[in-house]
Amino acid sequence: MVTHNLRIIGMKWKNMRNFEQVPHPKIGEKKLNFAKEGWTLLQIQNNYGKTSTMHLLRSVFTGVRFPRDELKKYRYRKGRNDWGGDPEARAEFSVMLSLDDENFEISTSLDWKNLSQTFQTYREGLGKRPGWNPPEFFRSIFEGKVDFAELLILDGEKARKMNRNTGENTIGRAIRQVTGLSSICDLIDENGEEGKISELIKELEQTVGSGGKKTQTLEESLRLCVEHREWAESERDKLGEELEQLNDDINEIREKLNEFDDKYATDDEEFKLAVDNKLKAKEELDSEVKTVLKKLFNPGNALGDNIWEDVIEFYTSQIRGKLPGEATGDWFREIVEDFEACICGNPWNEKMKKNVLDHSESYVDSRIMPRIKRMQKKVVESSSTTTVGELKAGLDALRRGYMRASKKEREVRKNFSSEDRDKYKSLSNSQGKKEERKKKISREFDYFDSENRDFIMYHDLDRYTVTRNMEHNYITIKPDRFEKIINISEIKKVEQNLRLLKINTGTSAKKANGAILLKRILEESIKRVLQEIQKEMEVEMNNFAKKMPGVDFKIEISESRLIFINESGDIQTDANESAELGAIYGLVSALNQHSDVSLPIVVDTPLAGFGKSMSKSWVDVIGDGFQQGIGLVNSGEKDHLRFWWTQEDLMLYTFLREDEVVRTERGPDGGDPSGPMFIDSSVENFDLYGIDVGYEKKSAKEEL
Amino acid sequence: MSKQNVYDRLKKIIENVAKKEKLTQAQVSTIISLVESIREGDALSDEKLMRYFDQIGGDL
Repeated sequence: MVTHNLRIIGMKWKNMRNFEQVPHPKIGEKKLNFAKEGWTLLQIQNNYGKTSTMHLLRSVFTGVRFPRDELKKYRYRKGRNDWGGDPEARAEFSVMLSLDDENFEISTSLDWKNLSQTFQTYREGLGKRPGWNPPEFFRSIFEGKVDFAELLILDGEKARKMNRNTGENTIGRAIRQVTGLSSICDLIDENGEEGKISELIKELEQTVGSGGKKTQTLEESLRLCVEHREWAESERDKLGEELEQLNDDINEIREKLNEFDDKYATDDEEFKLAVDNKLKAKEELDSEVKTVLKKLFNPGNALGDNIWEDVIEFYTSQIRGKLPGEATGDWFREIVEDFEACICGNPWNEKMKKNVLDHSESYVDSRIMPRIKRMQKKVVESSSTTTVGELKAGLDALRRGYMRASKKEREVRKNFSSEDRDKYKSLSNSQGKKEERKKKISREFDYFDSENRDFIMYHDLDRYTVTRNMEHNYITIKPDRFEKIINISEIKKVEQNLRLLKINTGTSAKKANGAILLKRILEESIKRVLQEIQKEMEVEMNNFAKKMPGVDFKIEISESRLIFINESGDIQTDANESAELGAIYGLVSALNQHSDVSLPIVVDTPLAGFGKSMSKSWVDVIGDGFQQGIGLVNSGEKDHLRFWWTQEDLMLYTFLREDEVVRTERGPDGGDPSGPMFIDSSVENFDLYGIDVGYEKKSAKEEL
Repeated sequence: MSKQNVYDRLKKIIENVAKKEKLTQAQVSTIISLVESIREGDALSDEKLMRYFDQIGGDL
């Protein structure tokens, strides 16, 4: 059950792009009311201002102003005075919203002459006031969070962005936002940023006076530790810069090498063939390596048929044998209620019963059973498809093929002029050396920068951090030891511990201990719950996205982007537009499934990039996924969605001009339509709008 | 799934993690009540947070 309901209940435009005043005070609908439950479709001609409306909505939702140099874009179209607007006026836009029981309105005014943007907020009981001041909950979700607003006010541009690595953890933040966990995440340290608890620990440290010798020693150690951390950070940054430089150098060398190949490939067929064959052989080898690794993970292949059959037989008997009905809290409740004695043989007494029932759900996670069942099913359904010997033979063959192709390419390269050959050799050597250097620097960078526990432990980077001294929380305080630590997260651990020990010498010891403990528990718990949610969302997202034709890959979620994995397990860096949109719609729908607040979605030209056949899939994915949806469509998309709006109870509006011919989207003389723009709510005009523009005829042709 | 479920899951995980860290029931309850109050939309002031620290640290 969601705890909050947010709805868009209306919008108004004044002197913005092609909208002089919409809704018009005299013609058509006096108010634009949206369906609070279900979908509203706004049919708006291309170039009237659909995209601008999306940008305005994002600005109004987040309180984030447009860059000054973009304000002019929103100016009322010059030279269109016959439409009744004022091209010299500020552009204005308002959105009426309801959050639970409160209605409010946020307006923005764009002064394109003085390059400034202001907000105004109307609240019940408070009236209209300057500034962006929505209800607190709305503020907590949207303030400054453009990337989150972009997911709910969604267009194709966003979908493309989500498939690129932007470095921003957009998805991670969105998950925290919709689940309501972000307020708790603000307390803890995440992604290298300090949370509120850490800030307060530093404040507590200030309360400790100069104190005795012990405090002074700790203070000195802390000073040295901070210095050491700063040294480590500067070393890491230096390595980071070198890495960047090496990447640039390597790319430059690659380009130069490619230039050689291009030069000879155009003149020499044999050379071109040799280069292509080598590349092909390399791709085949890489692909086979991945396939072999994947197959090795199937224990059926590694163990061989005889042993694996025994394993399958065992698990089959387990499934048939039915494990305890629910290996969960219910099981403990059952033994308390259905048996006279405990499993240890002692008769139940009230205290024992209470203790077992109080902790009944602590022993086994309630989701363990489905997981066991899934694992058993996987084992039973699996089979050995090959043997290790066969895998090795396949790999060897491809490796030999690659070596032959490489040799051939080297031989053909001998046809280069001796000068080019020398240059090529020198560049290749330089590339090899730089690649080697990059590998080394990369590893050194990770030694300093990695926060991954497995990496830290594997490389023994915590060797100088841990001690056996319980009084020091098993963490070193000795400068000669901690100055040997190079991993920054380990140094921070020492630093934090020194702060704690220092605070412990003062009067705030209790608070500091509580703060550290709270931080540790919350960090670990949040990490676990987010991992679970992310995995569940991945499954849901793929289920949604799979409904879209063209999504024939698996999508994984990282904190910052969507990752497309093709059938052979490779990361697909590029996907076509409809697939990208399918993926992003899948993500947004999955986010909505996990949302604590029932949110609306606004989509601009939802089917841009999709063919007509995709319309049904799109409605399946997104149409039912949100309780309130608003679609900004053109007449072509309206036609593609005919099956939807004719069958279901949707609110339908058409934006048109006073003398616009409905069927042609033009004026009576075939020129630009004139007269003020208004909103028409008739289903008939929604249906007929733009019908003679060609979409219908086109679709009839397609059918023929 | 709604926040209700997410928060319930988080509380359960907190209980498990806290148990492994050998926290007392009183400490666990204080952490849970902090989570509850954030869930109910309480904007925690620094002072309030300090009181939570005190309570959690007090049981050590």
